[in-house]
Amino acid sequence: MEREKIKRIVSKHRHEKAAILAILHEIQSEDNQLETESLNYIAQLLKVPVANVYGLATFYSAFSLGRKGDTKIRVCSGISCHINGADEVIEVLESKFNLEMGETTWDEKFSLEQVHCLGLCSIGPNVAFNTDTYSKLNKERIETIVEILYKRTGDSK
Amino acid sequence: MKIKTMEDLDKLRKAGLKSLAPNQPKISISMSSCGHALGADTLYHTLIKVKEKQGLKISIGQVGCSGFCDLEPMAVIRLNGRPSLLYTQMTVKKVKQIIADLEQKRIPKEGLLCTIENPLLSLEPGSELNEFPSYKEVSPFKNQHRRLLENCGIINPLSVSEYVAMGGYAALYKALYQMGREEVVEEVIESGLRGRGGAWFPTGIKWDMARKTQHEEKFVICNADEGDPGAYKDRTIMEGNPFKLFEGIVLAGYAIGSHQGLIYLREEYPHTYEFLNDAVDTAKRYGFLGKNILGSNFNFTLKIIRGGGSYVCGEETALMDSLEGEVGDPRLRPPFPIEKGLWERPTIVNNVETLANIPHIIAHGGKSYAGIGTEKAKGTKILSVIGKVKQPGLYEVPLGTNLEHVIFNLAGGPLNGSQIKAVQVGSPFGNFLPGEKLDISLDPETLRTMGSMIGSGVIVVLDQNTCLVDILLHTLSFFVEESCGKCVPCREGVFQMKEIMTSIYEGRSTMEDLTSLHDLGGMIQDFALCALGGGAPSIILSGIRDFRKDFEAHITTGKCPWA
Repeated sequence: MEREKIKRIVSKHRHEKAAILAILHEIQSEDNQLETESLNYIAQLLKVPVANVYGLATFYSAFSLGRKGDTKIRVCSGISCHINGADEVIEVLESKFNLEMGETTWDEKFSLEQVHCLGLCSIGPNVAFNTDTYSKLNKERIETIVEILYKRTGDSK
Repeated sequence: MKIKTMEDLDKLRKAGLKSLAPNQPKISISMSSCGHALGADTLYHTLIKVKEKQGLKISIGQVGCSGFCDLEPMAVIRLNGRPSLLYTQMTVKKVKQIIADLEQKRIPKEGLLCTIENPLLSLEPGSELNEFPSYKEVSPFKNQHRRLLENCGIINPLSVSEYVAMGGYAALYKALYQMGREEVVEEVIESGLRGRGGAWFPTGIKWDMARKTQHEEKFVICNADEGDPGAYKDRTIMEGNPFKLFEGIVLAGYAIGSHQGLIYLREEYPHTYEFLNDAVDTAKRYGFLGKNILGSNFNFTLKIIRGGGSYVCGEETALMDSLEGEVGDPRLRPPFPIEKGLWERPTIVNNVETLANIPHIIAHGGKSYAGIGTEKAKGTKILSVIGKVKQPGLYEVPLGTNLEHVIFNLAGGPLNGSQIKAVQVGSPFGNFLPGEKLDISLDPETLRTMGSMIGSGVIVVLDQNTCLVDILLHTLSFFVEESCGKCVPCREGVFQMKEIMTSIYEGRSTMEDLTSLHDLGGMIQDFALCALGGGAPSIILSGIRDFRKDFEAHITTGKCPWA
């Protein structure tokens, strides 16, 4: 991200060190990643060691150093989804996008990751595509959803 | 309009009553996270389109989640002068039929579950509604004691007037004008309320200590980092009745002498984040947050802070680290947050469910609150019953309710006539109890004697087609991924337990591995720094004891018999 933009986000949060998570959230959601350059610059602006910023970026699962897809696919791996067949849904997603958990497609359109619980435990298996969540999934339903997504965004295989 | 006097509050209450019993038919769609996931958006927009196209004289609104997400999208229909009607599993087709029925002045029957009486509205059902069951006698709502969830799925969660009409903000008014801080704390002590986040510490005692601490700046933190897989009660309260939570938070602030509240919300609830911010803006506009609350000289601000997706940040000291912009790193206590909390200021950290209990306690008195529950655990508990049961969902029952009763009579028992093999109370840390040992009182004391816990109230039901080794390995993977890495017993020990469990699952192990698990587990329990690491081995150790056959089947046959 350009320095000017980072500066604007940091000033919006009044250079408060406590707001660093909120700052990282904003940059992550716009860039789909936290570049080393960005982390260095944030550290400089907030007058904190780079190691701290790097520590946050790698500790919290909401942030990533590598680029995530424009559509971030998050599969719920909570116990309820697991019992109700999340593995089958994961298999479909991994094979359709040719991805393993934690990876991003070559064209950076999609990334796949697990999340420990989406809080929709009586309607699992659940998968979130960015903030759109789909529930009561099975093999057929997730296949249909992926096909619709492909039509909208183009095949990433 | 800022509410400053009792008269203002009464005006708002009347507006709310009108909104709950409107002159023209009103269809409200359940628009919480679960509603969204099952198509509520499409329904809502279809309704608006149809209304405009046909020039219908109906209003369209929204309600929150009732805790039974598999019945979503739900709809509540209010007809002039009648109890509300609750519809489940709505589709565009069904909604169109409802509109057609309403146009013909017929009661729509498709998808109708029950009628919802409202004692405050004193409405007569009328003979045409007699054939339908009422909310209190129909599954899944019957036999519950919905104190916290009473309005969830029934009122518009963003309507302050509807909340006030249902009795909301009466407690805050009473506290600010008729009670001193000490009296508020005394009521909470008398209620016997204990922390619902899982630690069950007496809330009133915590508040009393924080109140007595001398400091200009104190904080109230609401722990909404609902991370236990299987739990969604806090989300349901926040999305179904946010003002109840806010009222509890402001009361906490008043009681301990704090003017700043923070809700630490888990990152995985993006929809809830937007929603709570809207609710805060609304509460500010009416003067329920901000300066001179309800016209008194008490000021209180509330901010919603998003977490970063880390389970350990649900632990209160790690949570405060996160709020200070650090990685979540559990600290040894003392000092306790009530002495040195956020920014080293006196701080109370309470769970969403705990705080949502406060308005009831202040409005009706601690003694009345303590009228239900067990000797040591008062009030109700929201249970999240999930897994292989007919009707999964949130069941709010008095503490001390029998587990078997909850699973069979409330949640409908196991699916398709299968048998219950194991039940985990207090997931993810609670031990799995064998299916034949469910005649247990659900309260922290009883469960502790069974080596288990009530935790945040997640009850996972497994049937005979489930492999316990698979489930235990899955839970262990969760602990490994969520370990913060600070202490060796958790970082390396739990990881090694997972390695051994994986080899057992895959059939690459011997009976000696069970002994290794036992030794390793005992060591971790003794030496891990916090409850996450120290709590992890218990499910494995009790699993080997109570479900040994599953382990032996993997070891002797070399594969998973259920796969």
